[in-house]
Amino acid sequence: MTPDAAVLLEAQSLTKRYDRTTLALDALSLKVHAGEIYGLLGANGAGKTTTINLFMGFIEPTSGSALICGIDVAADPLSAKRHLAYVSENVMLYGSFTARQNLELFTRLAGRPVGRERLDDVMRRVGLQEDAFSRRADSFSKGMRQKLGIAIAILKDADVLLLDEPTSGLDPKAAADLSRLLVELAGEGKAILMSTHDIFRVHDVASTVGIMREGRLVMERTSEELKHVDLEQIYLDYFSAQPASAAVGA
Amino acid sequence: MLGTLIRKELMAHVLTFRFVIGTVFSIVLFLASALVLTSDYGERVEAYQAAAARHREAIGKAKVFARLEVEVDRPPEPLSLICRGADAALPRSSSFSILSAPTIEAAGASRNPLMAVFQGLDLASVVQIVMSLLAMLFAYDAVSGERERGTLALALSNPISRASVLLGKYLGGLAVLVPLLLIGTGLSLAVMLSSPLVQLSGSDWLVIAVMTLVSIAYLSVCWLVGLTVSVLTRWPHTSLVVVLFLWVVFVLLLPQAASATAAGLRPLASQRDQAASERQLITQAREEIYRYARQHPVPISVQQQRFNVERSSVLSGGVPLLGSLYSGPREYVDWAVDGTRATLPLLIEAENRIQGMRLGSVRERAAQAGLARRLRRISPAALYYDSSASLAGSDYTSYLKFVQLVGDLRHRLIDFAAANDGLGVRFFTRPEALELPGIAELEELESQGQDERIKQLMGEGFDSEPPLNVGDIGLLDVSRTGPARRIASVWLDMVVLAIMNIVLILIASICFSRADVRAG
Repeated sequence: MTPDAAVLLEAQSLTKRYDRTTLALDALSLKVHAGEIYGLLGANGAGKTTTINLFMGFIEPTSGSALICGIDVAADPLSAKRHLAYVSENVMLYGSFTARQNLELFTRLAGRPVGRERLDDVMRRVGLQEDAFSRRADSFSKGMRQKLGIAIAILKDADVLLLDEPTSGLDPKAAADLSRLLVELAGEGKAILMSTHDIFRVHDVASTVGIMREGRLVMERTSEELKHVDLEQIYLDYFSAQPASAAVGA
Repeated sequence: MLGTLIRKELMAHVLTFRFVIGTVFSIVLFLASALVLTSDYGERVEAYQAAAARHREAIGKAKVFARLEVEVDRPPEPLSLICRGADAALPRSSSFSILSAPTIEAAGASRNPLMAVFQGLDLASVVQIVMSLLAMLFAYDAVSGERERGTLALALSNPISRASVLLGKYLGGLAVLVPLLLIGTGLSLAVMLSSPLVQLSGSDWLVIAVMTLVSIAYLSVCWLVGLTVSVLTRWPHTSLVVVLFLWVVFVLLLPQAASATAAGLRPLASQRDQAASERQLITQAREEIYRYARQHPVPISVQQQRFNVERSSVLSGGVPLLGSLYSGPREYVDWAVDGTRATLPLLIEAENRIQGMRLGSVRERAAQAGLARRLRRISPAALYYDSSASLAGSDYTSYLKFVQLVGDLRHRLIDFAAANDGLGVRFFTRPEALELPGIAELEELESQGQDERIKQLMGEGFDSEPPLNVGDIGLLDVSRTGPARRIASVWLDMVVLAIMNIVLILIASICFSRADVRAG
């Protein structure tokens, strides 16, 4: 990421309240630049998935804005989604379709249909074996499905990637492969926001790490700032005692 | 984009086991019911042709109006092959004469004519019951299943609107169901047309085209019910339970409940009461006739009646109302002619009133069926079947029209008889009978031993007489209702089906636009 890289993903005082008592997200503000991998850490219920869902337009913000390439998702979700690719914790595909048919379908839905050669190239790039290309997706392991999810994102050529717990449940080799792909994509100028519990993976690949607690961003550090510190200890410290009132950068 | 969504839905359905099973099952049912119905129709056509020929011949043989018994056969309706409706349970013919009102169905007061709808599985029933279930079972997890699996969130991460996704699911569903319907109907029609007894006219094909459109609109409603439930429920297993419940309500409970409500709101007069009223009318007429008979006794003695040839009575006991008399002493013929002219109108009037009562009874039944039909419109399944029966000409209204027609035919016969002295001399004898010798002349000839001369004067009997010529008044002409009238009779059903489609599309769209599409 270059210092003056464009902001492709931005949360401006993003707030989501489900009812009077449940504040899922409390005035979240963050920016992800082109070429940046932003790792969002936090316990279950901290607001990570709510953040992703707001950027996806799956839920409406109570206040604030979620911007993709400067487009407010709530105001113009279809335009925003042209610049967005999504990889969920458990990528689910149409089980009765082959890997190739799934890719073809999702590239068409993304408005970027490509030829079979290109589909196969991308499947090779994400590390899928050739014999899986024409196999039904319902026989795929989770790792293979995650790879296909990344393949869809690559083929969509979106500026922004949202990943919700992408390495959860993956074996170390599959998780390492995924990390390698994310770094490659960031190198191509993509802005990547990844929510995760995987502190070590984040430490390895993220350019910026944010820690969320009770709907708030309680810490944000760059990889440079985290180079010589124990991220796990920082994470645990934030969840050990004090209430979630600490300001960003505290 | 919409094309991609439709193609995806189509592929997603076609590649499933339930689609294969559903398709095979419905095609087998279509073919099985087509085979059974074609065989049944063939038997009905042959029975009709034999009966019609027999009854036409019987009319041709009648020598006097009193002996003219007309039996009008209801021709089998070719489109009842597709929808039997109430037709199968109703009588195939009605008989009448000048002296008897047309017979109608012998039905108990509690019998619901719509019960017949559920007897036998015709093509409309396959669509009404089986294909509707398939439509709902194909659609029940269209949204909830994709939401649970997570594919919905992935699809909606693309620049496509929810409305497009829903429209794709709707049109994709139709792209599965409509070809299945057309293939099933096409194969069934091929089976039916393989029988030489099944002949469809151009107007029949027009009605079949309208029936197909109504079927598509009905299956569209069923699909949308499944789709709407799928949008409104969180989990596919919940969707399945709700969809099955709604299917039972729409296909089984509501139609029966509506019919029962109609029977309660418009109860029919008991058949026993009607029979008693009919007996009373006849008794009153007979009492007057017997009074007349007492005032006009037979002008010749019992012994003198030996000169009568081929004599029979409508009423016994010296009543001047004969069923037949080929020859007799002039005094006896005059007495019978005068008696017929005086008493026959009394019986005809009584039978006319009975005819009116019977028609009223069928009208009542039709009104109850009509009310039931209106109430049954709350169920798309009943609405579909009832409109198919109307289009096929196999509903109760078609039977009412037949009964009305037969009543008109009887009046036509009476008018014809009146114009040809059929309510006088020709009612029971030939015009030449008025010129026969009197009793004195006959007894004199007898005393002279001129038996051969008497035989020559009186004749042998009706065998040598030409029959009545009533062939040109069309006593057996039963015309079918034209296609335009049939189609016009279901316009409201089509409007209601269209409204159901629109309302369900709106509900599904509004709910889906607000639905949580996140997995899990």
